[in-house]
Amino acid sequence: MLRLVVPAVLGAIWQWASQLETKGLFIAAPLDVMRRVGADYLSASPGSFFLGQSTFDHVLPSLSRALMGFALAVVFGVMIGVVLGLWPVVSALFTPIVHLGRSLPTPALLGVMFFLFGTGDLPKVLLIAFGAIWPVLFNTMDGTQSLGTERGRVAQIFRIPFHAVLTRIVLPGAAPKIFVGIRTALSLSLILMIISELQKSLNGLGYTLNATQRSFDYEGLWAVLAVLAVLGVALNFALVRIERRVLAWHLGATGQHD
Amino acid sequence: MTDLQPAGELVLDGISRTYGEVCAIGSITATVPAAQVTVIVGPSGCGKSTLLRICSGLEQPTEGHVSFDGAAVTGVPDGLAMVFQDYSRSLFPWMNVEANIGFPLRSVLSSAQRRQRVQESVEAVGLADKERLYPWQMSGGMQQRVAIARALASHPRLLLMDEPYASVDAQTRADLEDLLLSIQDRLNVTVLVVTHDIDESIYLADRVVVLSKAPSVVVETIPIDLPRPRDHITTKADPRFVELRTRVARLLRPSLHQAAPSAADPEPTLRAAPSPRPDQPATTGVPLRVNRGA
Amino acid sequence: MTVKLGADPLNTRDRVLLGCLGLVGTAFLGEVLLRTGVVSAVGLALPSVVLAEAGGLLADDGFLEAVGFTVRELALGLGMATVVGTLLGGLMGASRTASVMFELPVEILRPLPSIAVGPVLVLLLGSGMLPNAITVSVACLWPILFNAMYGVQAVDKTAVQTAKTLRLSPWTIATRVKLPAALPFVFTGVRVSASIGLIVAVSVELLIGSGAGIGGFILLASTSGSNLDVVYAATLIGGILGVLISLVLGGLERLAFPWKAGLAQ
Repeated sequence: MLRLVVPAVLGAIWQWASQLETKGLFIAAPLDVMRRVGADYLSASPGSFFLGQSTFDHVLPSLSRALMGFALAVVFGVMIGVVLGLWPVVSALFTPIVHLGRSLPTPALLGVMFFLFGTGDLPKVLLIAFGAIWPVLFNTMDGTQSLGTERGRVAQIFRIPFHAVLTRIVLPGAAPKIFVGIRTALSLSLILMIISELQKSLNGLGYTLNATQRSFDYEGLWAVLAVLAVLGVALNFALVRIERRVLAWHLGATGQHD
Repeated sequence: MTDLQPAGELVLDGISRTYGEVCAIGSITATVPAAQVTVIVGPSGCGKSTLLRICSGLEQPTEGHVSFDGAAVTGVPDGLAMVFQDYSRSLFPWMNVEANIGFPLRSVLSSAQRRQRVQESVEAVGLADKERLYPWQMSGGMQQRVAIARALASHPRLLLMDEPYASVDAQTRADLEDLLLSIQDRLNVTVLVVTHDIDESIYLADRVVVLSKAPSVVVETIPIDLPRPRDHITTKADPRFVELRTRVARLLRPSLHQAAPSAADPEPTLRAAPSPRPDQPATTGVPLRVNRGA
Repeated sequence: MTVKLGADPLNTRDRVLLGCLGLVGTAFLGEVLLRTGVVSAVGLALPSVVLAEAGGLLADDGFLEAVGFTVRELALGLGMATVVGTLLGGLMGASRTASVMFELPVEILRPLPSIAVGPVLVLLLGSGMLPNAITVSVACLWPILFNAMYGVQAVDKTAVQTAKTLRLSPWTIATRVKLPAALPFVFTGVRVSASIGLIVAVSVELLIGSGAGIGGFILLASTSGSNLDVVYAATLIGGILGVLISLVLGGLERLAFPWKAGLAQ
């Protein structure tokens, strides 16, 4: 019960703000927003999975681009991160570049991406992937380097073959830190998803964000925000579930040595 | 247990290890006889762990060489298993007991054979029914048993143990010591244990090698002629035990007794025992080396 | 293939040398590949040209003004996030009730992509630094909040109990025992948010499109003809700025809290 107090208060403030004289024009009332979300993004027909037109037009394309970019970032980030982390010399060579890469304001490269890859989905996916790969890379490197000497000695003593060292020692051992990077990468992916649709785009949530703003459709604007919030929560939730499954041992062991 | 391989003899010849300016190991020459338990005991900081790593092939000595069963040890040799002091850092927390024990056997045995070996080892260390547990769900003593089981499962010819019981409580330590003795008896493995605990060294050993402080040398090698099987009550009440124990204690703390080089002496030359004992044969066949200096 | 897992890291001197080698080497390699035409794509810039351009930008007043704008925006956003995050996070860490009360809004608001609120804020507040800064603070809030929460919870129970036996008031305990103990964690949160913050700052400037800040500068450069070298150069400078800020904060952290290890999310 206590949990609902703050949301209720926030909701009330929202409602009050939407009724203000001047500023209230820009703030759509909560109920109106919900109605609009229902109208545009949901539907009553089971045939379309209860999803509305806007969902098919904008949410799905956006989401698929974001997830593709995210997947690329995770796969390549982990692969490269492991390679960079395993050999101290290689780590030392590339650490400054990784630090630089993860501080780059990637959205700035949107124009460059369009130039290189034309319009369409490819530049968007690549922008998302390029931006999201750095936290994965960085954290994978960190996780690989912090495995500890003892485990390495065990692997040597018992003559564990290299592929087993990679799949059964390095990856599970580095997994806790890798997942931290993956979580950051997910939220970056969503931000970049929006950015990537601000120019030369025909569909998507970022596009809608822009379009509703330009056509003074403030209710629509707030509807997009609501959808983004739902999307973010859902994706995060899914990731947390996956993480709990994969890192079950870690949750149990935390509190002891790594 | 079937398909056991014959144990071999480990020979250390003039092992020395220097890190930059610091000489950890002065010169160590010793023999670890086949199918026996040899315990190396020495004060903290005398390079015992380093020595063990050199024996295992994980590290190379600055001078001298190690050979196992006649063959020189340059990398990690076949048939070696090792148990480390810190079980929490040597077991894999993401694997359960079964998986941890069977892990080294993955590429070597078929899965049916592996399962059988794991089962044997689990029973040998007294952890039957606990195969599905994870390390964090078990006590320190149990985790160390898993580490021992893992070492055993590969049917090693040489078992190295680096202060294996230092991190567990006294009660568990007693149990684990007995476990080691029973295992060695069954498997006929050459065992080399490193410890700083005097009682433990005598209880476990067929021979004890006493080291000096760094830069370390062999102060004395003492055969332990206590009868087997041993147990904590009767063996430790045996007057011979007390005698041996006192002797080792004196060797480790020469500053407390006369006619012995002080601990501050940087170049201990000979055995530190104050007077020769008529009932004790000269240390068999092991030449004592003088510290060659850093 | 041999790999020494958990091998000792190289000493600092070697690491710095290799790091520089890596940077220079990569730039050099890129230069060679592009010049010889092994890799050719219209739109990729020669490292040497980008570096030259970057040098030019650093001498350009307009650009420096933009950098100043972005840095002030970041500082303002970070400052607001620190205040709110520390207070709220500390409260949630200290009080079970508060933690339960705020759990839901935090879980719902946290995954919202922060730049999405930018346009709404501009509508409400007009364009300028404030809406950008608030957007930045939304992005920076969460690491600080969680670190503050964790920091307060991680306070040594014995210390708190000792304080209680000394009959200190809850307020004194909070300010004199819990807060100082939580500070190192808060600082880690600030350090982590700073890098996210810079990226969000530039992103929101790009999104809002009012031409201010580094993002605005890049927007103008990329729309006015294909002057991609300037875009690359400005992006590079943005990245270096981020690294510098990270280093400075890291250095401050080591000075102020040499003993600590915090939750770096």
